[in-house]
Amino acid sequence: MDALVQTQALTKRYDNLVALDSMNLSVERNSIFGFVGPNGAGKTTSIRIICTLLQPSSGEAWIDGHSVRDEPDRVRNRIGYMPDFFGVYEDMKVWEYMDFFARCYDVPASKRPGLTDELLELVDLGEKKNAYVESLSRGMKQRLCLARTLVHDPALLVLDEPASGLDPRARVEMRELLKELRTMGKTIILSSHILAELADVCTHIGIIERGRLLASGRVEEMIGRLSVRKRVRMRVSSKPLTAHRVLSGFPGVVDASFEGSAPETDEQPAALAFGLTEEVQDESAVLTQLVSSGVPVRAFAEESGDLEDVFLQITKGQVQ
Amino acid sequence: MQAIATKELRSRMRGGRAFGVLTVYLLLLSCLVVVIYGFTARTIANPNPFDAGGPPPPLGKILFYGVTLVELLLIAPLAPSFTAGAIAGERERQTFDLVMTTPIRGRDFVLGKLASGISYVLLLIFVALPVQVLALLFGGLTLTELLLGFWTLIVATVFYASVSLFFSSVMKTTTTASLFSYIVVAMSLIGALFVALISSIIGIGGPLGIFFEGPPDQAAPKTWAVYLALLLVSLSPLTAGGLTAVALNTGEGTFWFRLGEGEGIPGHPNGYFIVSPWLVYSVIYLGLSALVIFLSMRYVRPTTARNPNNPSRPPVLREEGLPPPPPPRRVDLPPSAAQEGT
Repeated sequence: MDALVQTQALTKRYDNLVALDSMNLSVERNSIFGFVGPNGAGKTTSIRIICTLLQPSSGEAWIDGHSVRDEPDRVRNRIGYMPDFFGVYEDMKVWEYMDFFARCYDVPASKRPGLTDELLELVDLGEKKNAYVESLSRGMKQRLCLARTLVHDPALLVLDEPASGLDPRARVEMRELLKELRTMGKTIILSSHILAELADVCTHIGIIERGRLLASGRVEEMIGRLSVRKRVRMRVSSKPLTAHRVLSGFPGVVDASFEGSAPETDEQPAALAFGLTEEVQDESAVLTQLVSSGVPVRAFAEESGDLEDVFLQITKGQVQ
Repeated sequence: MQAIATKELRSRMRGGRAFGVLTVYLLLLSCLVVVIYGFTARTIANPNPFDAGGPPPPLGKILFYGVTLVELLLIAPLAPSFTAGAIAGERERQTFDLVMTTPIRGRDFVLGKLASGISYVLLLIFVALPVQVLALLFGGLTLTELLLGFWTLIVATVFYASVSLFFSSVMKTTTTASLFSYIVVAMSLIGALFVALISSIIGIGGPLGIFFEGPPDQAAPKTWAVYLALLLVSLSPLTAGGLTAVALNTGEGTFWFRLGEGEGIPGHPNGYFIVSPWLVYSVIYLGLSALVIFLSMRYVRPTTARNPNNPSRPPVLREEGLPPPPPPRRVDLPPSAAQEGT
């Protein structure tokens, strides 16, 4: 594995509080790594250390082979950082904002105008070049900030809660933008506590809670490691209590339950859901058993386990 | 530094605020010149009947010193207002982290902020130049006095801006940074009044009295006390500038002179060797400015390179010839979590 980001026993303490506890992490090059965890889990602390904004209490982190503790300047040249809450210089024009950061990164003066145009086009703000930053919507400011992170062509983008505060359309646009950046060869670390946001865009995830990295790996691998491989949703025209009894007695079926309120008689229609463990290779066996027990099944559909299931299992229900 | 200074100046000079401040400032100074001129001209035209005669008041000097004093009193609150929010404001606007993740050095960041803050105040000083130079037309004013007046203002500007920037780098909010900055500025200006007060209390025979009331008639002040007095009067641009003006007008040297020479001070027939107060004031204020700027640079960068000459390398690179690392740990699902899921 060619890791762009590596950490080793990375720890941050504030007096008696351990914000980050011996975190070992590897982020592959050209991946989108989602940091998942509840609020206060240590996501922002790790990100701030990686971005050289915070000194770790112990341990080490390397970005593209450079230590955040020994070579912060080299690390800064390889990172584009967008914090969860950020301000923009309201009294500047969009191109001036980009130009300012390009100067901070020592981008040659001859390249700055072209680069600014190019990046503004990428984030779909080309027409706003001469507008004041204060006139932009929240989504536009977020995209402008993303364009700013690209001004020095970094290998790694670190985005802390990139979709927070965005409306649904802006979220979709941001997601598409991240995918496009990956195709451009960028490695992206993004944090969120909204799993649905990450599921669609991440290739890898790391689950962090109370300062400890509980698990990390490719999204498919993580889902594959789930004890409940699949969930099935079904509807019956009647005999819901019989269906529940059949499901509860079937080997490999777990967590059979009614969706909504449980029916009082066996004559009512109802919706049920249940989980299948690895023991059940083919869910049609369950359907056959239900039909042979006289249950009129109207609908029967499987769903793959998702990040939410992964997160809930790993964090043992300690989710906020 | 250039990136920061350009950005700051671009924002500062945009809109009507900068133009408004400049206009009000020049209007105030112009009104003052008219008032001083009118008052002094009237005094010359109607001499005091009890006056024994003598040369008329030097209008040029009165104009120049009056305008310089008012400029100082206007600059004193303006300089902190441009720099006290320079760094704390970035924190409040949540733009500080964005800049700190760029490779910009703490030195460049602080100097850029300082340069932009100072340059606007210097602009105020220079646009007032024609008003001050008017004094030369009325005669009585020397070029040395004119230059030292400018120098005193510039040094005060640098000091007030540097101190405010220091508080801005240390404090989290602009309000607190401004509060502390104005306390220092007030001490610098009002402190001069205290020095004058102390000197009058200590009296003619005291060490400070030698500066304000002439040499004592009887016991000579201790040498250290005279130099302590010099230090005290040099702590403020008001007293330092005032005493330098007095020294120049009594024919003393620009850089140093002998205080009480030929006045028969016991044990000190040649008087005391005194470095001119403006020089001591400059050394103190510029020295303190350099110190607080240095501290600001240290405070502004949250992290510093631990061992840049021998940086640690990640495990993969170490395999290519560097010392071996501990293997990276694969974090798997905890068994308890897997059991609970089944």
